[in-house]
Amino acid sequence: MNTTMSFRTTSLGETHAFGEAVSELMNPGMTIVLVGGLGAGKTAFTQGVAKGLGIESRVTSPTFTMVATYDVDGRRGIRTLLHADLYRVGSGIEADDLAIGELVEEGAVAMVEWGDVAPDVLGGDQVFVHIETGSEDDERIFHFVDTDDIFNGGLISAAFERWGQS
Amino acid sequence: MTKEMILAIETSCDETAAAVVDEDLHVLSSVVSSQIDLHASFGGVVPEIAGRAHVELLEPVVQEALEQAGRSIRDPGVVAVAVTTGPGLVGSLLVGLSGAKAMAYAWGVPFLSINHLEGHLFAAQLESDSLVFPYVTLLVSGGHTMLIGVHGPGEYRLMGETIDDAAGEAYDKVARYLGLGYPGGPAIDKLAAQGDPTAFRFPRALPGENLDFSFSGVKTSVVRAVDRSPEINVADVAASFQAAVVDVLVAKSMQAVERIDATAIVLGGGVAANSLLRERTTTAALEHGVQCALPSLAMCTDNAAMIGAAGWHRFRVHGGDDFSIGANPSLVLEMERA
Repeated sequence: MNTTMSFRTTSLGETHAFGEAVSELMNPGMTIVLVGGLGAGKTAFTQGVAKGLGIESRVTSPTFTMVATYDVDGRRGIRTLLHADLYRVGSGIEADDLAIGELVEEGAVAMVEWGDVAPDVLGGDQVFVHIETGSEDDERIFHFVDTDDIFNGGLISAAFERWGQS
Repeated sequence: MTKEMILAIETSCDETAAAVVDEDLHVLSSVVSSQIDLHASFGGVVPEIAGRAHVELLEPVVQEALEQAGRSIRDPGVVAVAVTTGPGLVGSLLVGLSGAKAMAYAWGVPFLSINHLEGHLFAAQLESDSLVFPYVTLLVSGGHTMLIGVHGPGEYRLMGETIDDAAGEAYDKVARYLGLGYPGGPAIDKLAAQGDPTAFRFPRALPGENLDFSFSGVKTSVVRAVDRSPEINVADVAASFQAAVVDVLVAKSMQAVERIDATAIVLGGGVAANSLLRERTTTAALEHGVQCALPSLAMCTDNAAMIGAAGWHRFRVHGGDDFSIGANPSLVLEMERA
C-alpha cells in the first residue's frame, strides 16, 4: 500500500478547511508530527484541525509555552487536543519532560510542530506531515507519511478527493 | 512609621527575579538574574536549563532583594509573599512557586498567586503615578500580543490579541532565520538602524476596525524574500520587517485609545524595549493628545517588582491565596472581552 500521499491547498482558508477534513479522520492516540520550515503553515493547519474538532477558543502558536491543551467534546472518544511545539527544545530528553506521549494515551490527539527533532519520545500512533511551500505565495503541499497506515490509506484519499494528489 | 512590605518572586521564563515593594508601591529593591547567556547558544529558552538555573539562583536572588531593602531571610519583615503562578514554562514557574510557598509558610505570612500578565499591567503604575483610568496597555512580548483596556485596578477588557504568533516570537524566529542569534528583538532592532525600512513591503495584517493581530504572514514573507534572493541585504530585511510589525502595533494601539477614549497608551512586555516602537508610540500619542507611558527597559522586561505591585492589589482585595494553588502554564487573565 502506498503510505505517502500529497495534497495541495492554495490559500489560508483552504489550509484551514483541509485541517478540518483531516480532523474527521482522527482518533484518540493519534499524533501528527508536523515538519516544515518557518511559515510553512503548521499552526494554520492545526487551527483547521481544532475547528474541525469543535474547539471554539483561539488556537495560536504554542512556541512560547511549548504545549497548549484544548478540551474536545468527546467525539470519537477524543477529549483533548494537545498542540505542542518543539522549536525551542534542545534534545529528546527535554521533549520527554513535556510528557506528550503519556497524555496522548489518555484520550488525546496531538499536533506537534517541529516534532521531527524528537519523534521517539512523542509516543502515540504517529503520522508525519511534511509541509512545503509551493511556487505561488499561498500554495502549500502536504505530504502525509503514514508508515503504519494509521489513517487507513483508502479512507484518506476518499476524504481528501477535493484537494487531489499533487 | 515603617511601611509594610511585600516580597515578590518571578520565575515564569528565563529570568530569576525577586523584589521588595512597599505599600505605596515604592520599589525598595528589584533583582533580576538573567539566563540569556545560558540560552543564547540554543537560539532560545531551553526549559530544562531554565528550571535548573532557577533552582540555583532563587535563594541568592531573594537574599539580595531582601538585603537591598534592609532586611534578611531571617528577619524578612514582609506582610506577604507574592509569586507568579502562570502563564509561563511549568518547570520554571514551579521553582519560584515552591520557594515562595516555603518562605510564606515559614514566616507565617500569606502567599499571593499572581498572573504574570497582570504584573505587566501594573508595571507602569510603579513608575508613573500620574496615570488616569481608563488607559490602554499594549502588552507585547515573546508569548503575548494584547491590547488591554485598563478601567481600574483589576478591571481589564481585552480589546485585541494575536490570532497566531506573538510579536516577540516573530522577532525571535525571523532573527534566528536571518542568523542574528537570540534574543531576536535587540538583534533586529540594532541591525534595522542600518537598513532601509522601505526596501521591502512586508504585509500589515488585519487592517480596518479589527484590533486583533497576526504576525505569521510577515514572518512567512520574510522567509520567502530571503529564499528568493540569497544575496539579500539583511539590514534592509530587518528594517522592513521591524517597520511592518511596529506600524501595526502603533496603529492598532491608537485605534484602541480612540475606542475607549483613553487618557494614555502604556507599553508593557519585552518588545516594549524596542526603540522604534517606543519612538513611534511617543509620536502617535502626542498627535492624539494622550499621555504616553513607556516603562523603563528594566520594567518592560520580566521583573518581580511588577509582581509585587500586582501582589499589593491582590493582598488588599483577597488577603491571601490557598497554599494548594499550583503552577498553571496557560493561566488566563480574567478579562471581559470588549
